[in-house]
Amino acid sequence: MGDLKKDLENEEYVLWLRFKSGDSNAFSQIYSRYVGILYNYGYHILPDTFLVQDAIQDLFADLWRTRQNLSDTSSIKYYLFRSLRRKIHRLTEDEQLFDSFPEADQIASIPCTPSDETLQIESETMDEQIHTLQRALLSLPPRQAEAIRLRFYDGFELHEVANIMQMNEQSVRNLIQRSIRKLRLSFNLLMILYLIYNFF
Amino acid sequence: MNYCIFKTEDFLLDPSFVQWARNGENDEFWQTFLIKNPSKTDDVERARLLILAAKSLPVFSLSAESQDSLWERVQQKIADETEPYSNPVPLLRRIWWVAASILMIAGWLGWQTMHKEKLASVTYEKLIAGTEAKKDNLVEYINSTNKVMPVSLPDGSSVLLQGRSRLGYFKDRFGITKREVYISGEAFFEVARNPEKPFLVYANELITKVLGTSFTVRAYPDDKQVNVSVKTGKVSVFTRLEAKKNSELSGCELSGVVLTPNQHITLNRQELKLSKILIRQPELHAAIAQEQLQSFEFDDVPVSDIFEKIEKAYGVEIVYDQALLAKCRITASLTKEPLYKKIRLICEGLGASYEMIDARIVIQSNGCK
Repeated sequence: MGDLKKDLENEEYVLWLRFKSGDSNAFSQIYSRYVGILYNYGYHILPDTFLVQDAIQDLFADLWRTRQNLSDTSSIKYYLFRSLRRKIHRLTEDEQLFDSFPEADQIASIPCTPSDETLQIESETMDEQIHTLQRALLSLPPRQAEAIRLRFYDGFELHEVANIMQMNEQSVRNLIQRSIRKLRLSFNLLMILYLIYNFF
Repeated sequence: MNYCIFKTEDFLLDPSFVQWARNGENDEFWQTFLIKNPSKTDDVERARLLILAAKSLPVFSLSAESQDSLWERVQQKIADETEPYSNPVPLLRRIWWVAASILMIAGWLGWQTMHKEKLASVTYEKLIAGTEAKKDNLVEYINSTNKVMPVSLPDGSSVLLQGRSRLGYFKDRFGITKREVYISGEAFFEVARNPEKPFLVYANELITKVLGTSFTVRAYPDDKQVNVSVKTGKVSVFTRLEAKKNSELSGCELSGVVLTPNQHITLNRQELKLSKILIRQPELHAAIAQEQLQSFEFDDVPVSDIFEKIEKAYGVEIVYDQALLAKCRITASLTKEPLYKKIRLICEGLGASYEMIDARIVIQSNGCK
């Protein structure tokens, strides 16, 4: 596993160096490798396909223009995520699109109403439970959801998440801890069912 | 690491644990840990489930075509940028430019009225024929029924096309620098906000320009008038004469006659005269008047109620399994969202999907637990 990761990093590093030296094949390779996940991430922070595509366009155009001044990196993905987030925020700053978003953590999260009917699901499979949890995840305050997504979906390390979100690592830990508390109610019910399902 | 005192959140924040949950690394260690510490099963499973749920969250993807065209845009931008760098015009000078161009437009308009040049009545067919676009790229929606037909545009905007009405756009040009649509008849628009790409509705002699808002255009070919009424946001309205000055259409500054909510403008097609009035509620189209009065704030409301409200407000039909969704409740704030976004957000909340079948919105869901 460790070796595989090393190889991957090495490959990325070489790809990045080729790109920096002006190799347009390497550039298009980077684009096709990351445009999909960048769009997915961008769309979750700002659900507007045009603006996200604009941000991605800017991001790659800038990348090419400033390639000689970029530092070496073995995680292109991390670099791109960080830049995309900044671009999106800059694009939306003057338009105050974020106005419509509740200030992170200020609102009570939407309760996921695990009411009586939840108890009927003795036969519920694990897939369905995960589905229920995902719905709860999607209703978290934006910054909590973003931290969880970057850490567990995109697989960034905590310090990378912190850097991408431009906050310190402890704040990211707090965000994740807070989201757990919010999800606890739906969790507890799920757990009971999960245990019933697994052990009886 | 003393994992025995760990709670759910501690596991979630532990790198080694996350690696196990995401990729199965160190499986032996964690299996042994669980056997030795059965009291930790709950916390471990909780953390693991959450990670698995997050890891398999639904993906918003960009189609291969969009990826390709975005790549072309990147290349285009790079090509543009390598051209000699031009100094941006300083602010003060820019203000002068604006002032100068306003004067010019004003002067030009005066000249136009003096000459009383009239365009022979312009209709949808002429508008389409008059564009430089390739006609095989025309996407058309024709509603020959008497019911409302909901239409979704590629930029996320929604249109409710009234009976005996028609909407067209060129798929190769829509959204490149502007979003241009042509209509005949009546339609209610909810435009997805994108200030960089103005949304233009061509209706007979009238052009309506918006950056993101909702409004109705009424322009039947045989009507004596063309009407525009605004529900939210701001739009600006021009006659085709005024709009010949193309730069006005692509700019982000709204000029022309500006309409704000509850205002209504009528163009007399013979005289090409614009007159602005305030909307009196009863005059509005019934469906839209309804919609205007309603808020779409829902706090733990059965989803069937929400669908009913949308059906009434927009005059569309939503088909879903009432028994399956009977227990689904939703908390959401949808007032500002266009129709399709409302539907999409509700579907996301339900873990459901939707499609358009014969002008009806059909919800596919496995119900709620």
